[in-house]
Amino acid sequence: MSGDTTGEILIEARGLHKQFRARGALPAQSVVRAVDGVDLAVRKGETFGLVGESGCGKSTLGRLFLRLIEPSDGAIFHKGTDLTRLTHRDLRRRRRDLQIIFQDPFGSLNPRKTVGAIIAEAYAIHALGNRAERWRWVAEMLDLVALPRQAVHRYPHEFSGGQRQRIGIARALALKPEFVVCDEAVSALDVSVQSQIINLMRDLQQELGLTYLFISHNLAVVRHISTRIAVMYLGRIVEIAAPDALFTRPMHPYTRALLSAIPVSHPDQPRHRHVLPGDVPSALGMHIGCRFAPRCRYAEQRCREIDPALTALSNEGAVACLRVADGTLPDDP
Amino acid sequence: MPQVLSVEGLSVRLAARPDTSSILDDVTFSVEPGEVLGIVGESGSGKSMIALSVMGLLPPAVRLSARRLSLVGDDLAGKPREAWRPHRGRDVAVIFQEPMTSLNPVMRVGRQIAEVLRWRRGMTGARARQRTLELLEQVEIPSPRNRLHAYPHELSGGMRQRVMIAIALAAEPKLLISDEPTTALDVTVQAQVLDLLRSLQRQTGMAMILITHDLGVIAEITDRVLVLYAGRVAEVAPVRTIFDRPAHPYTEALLASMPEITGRSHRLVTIPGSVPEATNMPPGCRFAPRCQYRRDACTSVVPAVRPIGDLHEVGCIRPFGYAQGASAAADAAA
Repeated sequence: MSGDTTGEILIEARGLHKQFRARGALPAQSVVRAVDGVDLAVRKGETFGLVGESGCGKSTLGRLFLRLIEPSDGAIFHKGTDLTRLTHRDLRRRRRDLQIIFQDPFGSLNPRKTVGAIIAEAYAIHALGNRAERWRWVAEMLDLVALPRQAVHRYPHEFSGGQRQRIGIARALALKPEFVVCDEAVSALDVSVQSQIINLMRDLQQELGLTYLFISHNLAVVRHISTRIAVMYLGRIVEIAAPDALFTRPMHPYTRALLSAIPVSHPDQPRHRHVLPGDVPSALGMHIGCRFAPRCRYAEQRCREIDPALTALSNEGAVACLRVADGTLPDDP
Repeated sequence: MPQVLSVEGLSVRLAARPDTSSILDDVTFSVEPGEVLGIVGESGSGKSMIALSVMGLLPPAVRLSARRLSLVGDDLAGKPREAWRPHRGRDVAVIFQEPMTSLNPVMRVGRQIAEVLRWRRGMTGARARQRTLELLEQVEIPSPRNRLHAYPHELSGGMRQRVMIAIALAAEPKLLISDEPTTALDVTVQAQVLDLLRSLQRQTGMAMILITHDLGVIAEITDRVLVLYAGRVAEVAPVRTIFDRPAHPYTEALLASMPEITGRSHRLVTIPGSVPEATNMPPGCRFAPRCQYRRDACTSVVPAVRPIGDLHEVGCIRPFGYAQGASAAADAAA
């Protein structure tokens, strides 16, 4: 499915929180709890999928992992070092190993720089190599992502969406990182091009021994590429499982509803849809009890009072649900 | 009953550069009363141009030509934009992907619905108010009485799309065109809106064109499917035929490149290259440069869209080319 997983933890979030001040909100609700207490360990060589709907905090969590934004509380350990305690100078050095690929191949590439300059910038920032070496490395990166070498002298707008995403991947991999956050990296692409990029990312993982945190709202893509998957809801992880376990036997009521909402892949496929009432509520203000309780068909009084912890299951998975924990959650009809 | 929409030989090209290849090229299709026709294609396929052409809302920078563009029996081909006016809203309505840009941000949603009732149904006062409330209930907006006075920005994306649907339904159109109606929505909200569209379509018996890039949405809700590639019809068939026996190599490749939500993880099938630009279309079959079954003739001959079976039409000189031995069967069917 992906590279070799040794079980060794590469990067780990502990008690991670991120709050944003909301403009124009009432004082009592002026804090958005985008990430609200997340513990997550990513193993070397795996592709860890992170799914959830808009506003659940998955992109914020991805940025926190690289300390692109500062956490409000908590720590990120990368090979024994807490990234949140590094000076900016040390952090920059560390970033050689930690990279990100963004969703929008239009907005994330400087339109006034040539493709060669965009990729070579990484070497300049880290003062690596001389001019000739840098150009040789750029050419190697272009080969790696299957772009023509002539692309060096061209500008991003001259390329299609899929090719631009290849440029973004080349830039992220230029410094041979260990860990890459892929934030909706294929979501803006058409299906036929999306599959090209997914295959490319898997090949590169094998070749370079990469570890991915793969963030997406597209459940089919995440199932396809991940070794483990976490489901987020309102700033919390509600379930972690292996892809097959998650998709064949989802435990958390939210995961069940989310999976049942995926459009069928054939007109004759039976629909067992449980439509959730309402929208994902806002992450503004305080939460008491389980965040999903207001929309959960199985919620009991205690669910509105007690905040469920993410509890490990026997099959390597973990679920944050009181009724799963004590075995009283019924199967969906 | 007559067709709700009948389009023959629809072409759309850039007004400033009429010599370059067309955005839509000789597109022919029809919509029967009460059916849901899906139009599926990737970005640049011209699928939204079909919606705008049928609505008479094409931007001034492009020119439309058609042998026939008949909306509820009125042939509008070659007529000025004004000819669409009596039909818009009343016979055909449209909802777009992003409801925030389609709604008036400084008008309460109740008034936006009432406006349609007034201009298209001649309803005013208490009657319009009552009907507005019914429409909000019909699109399953919770506490509709309070929402009458809400501004669009006070509603969530899903609620806004419901308001758009209420506006589109207000004049009881015979044809509803939905252009990527759920693309901007989360998957759980998408499921709500698709269920709503399907139940409303069944209740009212209106016909619907659903434009999408998502084959899952196609599988959920459509009766018949038109596959569009680079401005040309690749294939038209009932939805089950499209999924079970696709005849065009592009349809086959598109289905194969979808990651399976149910299946095991394997290497994805890809289509090399990308959709060509309107200003740089290849000669012959526009899919030929990316087609693994390409023959010499494909790069020079424009394939005619011809019937190969019951309600099944294909624009390929060698349909079922990917299935060994099937081409003979296809030839026999043709």
